[in-house]
Amino acid sequence: MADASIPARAEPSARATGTPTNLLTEQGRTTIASTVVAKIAGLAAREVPGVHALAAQGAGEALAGLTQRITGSDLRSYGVNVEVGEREAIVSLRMTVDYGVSIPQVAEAVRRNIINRIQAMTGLLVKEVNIDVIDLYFPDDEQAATTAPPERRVQ
Amino acid sequence: MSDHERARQPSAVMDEVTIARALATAVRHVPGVADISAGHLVEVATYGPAARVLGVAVQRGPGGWQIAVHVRAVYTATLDLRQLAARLRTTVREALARLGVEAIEAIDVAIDDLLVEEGTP
Repeated sequence: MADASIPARAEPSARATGTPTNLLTEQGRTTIASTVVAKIAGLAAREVPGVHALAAQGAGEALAGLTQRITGSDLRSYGVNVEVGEREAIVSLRMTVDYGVSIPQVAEAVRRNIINRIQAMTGLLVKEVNIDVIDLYFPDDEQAATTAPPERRVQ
Repeated sequence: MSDHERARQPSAVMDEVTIARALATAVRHVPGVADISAGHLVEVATYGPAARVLGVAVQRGPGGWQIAVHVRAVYTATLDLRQLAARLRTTVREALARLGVEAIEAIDVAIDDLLVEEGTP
């Protein structure tokens, strides 16, 4: 049981583990940790075709991401920053998109999916989804690097 | 409440650790729960002599028992955490009833983390 708490401590982004949300009922309080909201947002973003990957929010998270890659822990809320209040949430994320897609359309689809998922899964109202598209991904680059042997210019 | 008074009450046979153990078992079997979570900043547990039950906090409050359960939920495309919380609360209430524990002040439910299984995009 003690093991179950350890990954939670080494959570993706320090910011993602901030204030939990409270849904007060007569019989008690329901708390949804912001890590949970961040993971849902990260998965919702990645579900949209055209999104290549999410990227770290600044140097702090880049370091956190590196540690997680090394330790093999869950990276799914990586690249997502959430602020969670009692009834509302704000999501910010940085992502790279595939070259050739319509960036505004993909961003809008990501925004819609995040809002829908978070509202359906947690009941929180998503006030803002801020998306930074920080780079383009060219699928050819990777293929060229992995498959094609270096071409000799001189025979 | 003095120890003497407490001893005369039916629920006094039930100590915090016994209740916490029963609740931990019940909660772990709720569909959608990956595991119990021991909390991420402060340890959530019930303490007793040579015993510590992680993930379930059972305390006596002025108005009755105060229960808190912390879990890690399994991510699915149709996840509804409010529904899961309601299911957990019902499970806790039923388990307490089976133990004969009455006077419940609050049942707090916390979803601390999500378990995202391999293969989910």
